[in-house]
Amino acid sequence: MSFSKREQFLLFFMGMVAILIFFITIFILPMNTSINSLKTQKSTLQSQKDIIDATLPQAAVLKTQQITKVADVNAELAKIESPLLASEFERWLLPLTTKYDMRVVDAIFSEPALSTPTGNVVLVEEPVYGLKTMIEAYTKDVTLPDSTITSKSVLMKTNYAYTLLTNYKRFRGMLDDIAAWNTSFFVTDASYNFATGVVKLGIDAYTVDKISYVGDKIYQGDYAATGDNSSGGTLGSGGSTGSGGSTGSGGSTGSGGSTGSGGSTGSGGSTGSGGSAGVIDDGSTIISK
Amino acid sequence: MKKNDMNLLERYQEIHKERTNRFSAARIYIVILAGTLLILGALTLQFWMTENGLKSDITTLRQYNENAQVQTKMAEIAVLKENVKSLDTMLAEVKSINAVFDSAVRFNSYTLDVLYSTLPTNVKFTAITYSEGVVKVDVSGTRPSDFSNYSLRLINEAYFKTVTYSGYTFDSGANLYNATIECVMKGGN
Repeated sequence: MSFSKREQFLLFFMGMVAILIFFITIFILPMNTSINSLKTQKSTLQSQKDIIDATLPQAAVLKTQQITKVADVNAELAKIESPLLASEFERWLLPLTTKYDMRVVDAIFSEPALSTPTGNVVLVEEPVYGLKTMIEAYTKDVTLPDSTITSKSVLMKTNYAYTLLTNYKRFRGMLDDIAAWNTSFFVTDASYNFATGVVKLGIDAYTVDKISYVGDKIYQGDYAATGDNSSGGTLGSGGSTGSGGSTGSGGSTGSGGSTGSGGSTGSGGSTGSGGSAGVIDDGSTIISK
Repeated sequence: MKKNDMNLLERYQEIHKERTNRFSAARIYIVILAGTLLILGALTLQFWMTENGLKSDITTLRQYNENAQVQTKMAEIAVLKENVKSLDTMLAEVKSINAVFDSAVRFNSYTLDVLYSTLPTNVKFTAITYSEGVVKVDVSGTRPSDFSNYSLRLINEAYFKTVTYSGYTFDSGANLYNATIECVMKGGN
């Protein structure tokens, strides 16, 4: 059987096409697909490697950052007291009533509750009316609305309310000592009746849980609170606090050097000459970790 | 004796046949086929090498990425990053609280001293009540002008945001005027 040249060419052409199709479908296309897929895979892995290479050296920096930030957070948290029980709070206040020879008439403590601190700043609203606005616009002397700093954060709040008997001078001194605590305990209510010498004192104690840190307080030991308003008196009378001599008789308060250091409170005339009552680091009552 | 003719045609035909054989269709086809197969083979080889190269690269990369030490370090770093992030959030939150505390009203002896030092001589305190940023001073005086005098003195001290009173009454039994002066305290910082 012989083929004409045309037939030979057609057979050759068909053979070539068959070979091409065979190679393309069996080898080239699957390999090409596989290569594309592998390229994508490689690219992804390369990206991951690049990320890893860029991330690994950050470890040391991040560790340092973490340490610094923990210190920063602790420093800020240190300004707020850790959650405390009423019995622990009393270790702050009773040394003051002892120091100022105050009779504690009653004490009422609330349950801890969640609260957003407000700072007790009362905003004063200026009246706004058309003519005033026009005058302010003309004089360029615009009254800005009263404002205060707010926070959306929530803390634990416990209210400690005391009724005390004392004189004005001691009441005044006690307020200063509470302010000197410089912590997250705020006098939110206070009243003094000049006729009866009755003090109503409400303290809001804001507390927060903390990252463990050196400096938190431990409340331990027994504390013998005294104070019977024996020197009595009202405005300005009563002389120096502690003149009654009864404060510090328990002996335990003076030992730590906080309340009436160096002896019984009031023996020298002025109470707590060595420090203020309720001061942290009192060896006998509140100590730092 | 053979006659030597000048028969060039025979030689020409011979050469032509040779040439025709050399460039015959079958040969050309074979050459093209061989060339094509060679090209396709080379292409396939190249693809195969590329594929294997990529596979090798991927294996190397995967080994590096999935290395236990690397993974441990990456996990540590992820934890560190998360910690730093949460510490940042904590810090912002605590700072905002402390800012509120710094700006909070603190009722202390200074407030009482301001109230006391500006008190006109013939005016007496009856009671002082502080509640959530507002101090209410119950005072008694012998003259109806005592309260306006006292209020103006307090206003001029500029210690309070506002100083107001809403009137006064005369107590005929004690022969004294009584009033309550309300002072709104300013915040801290």
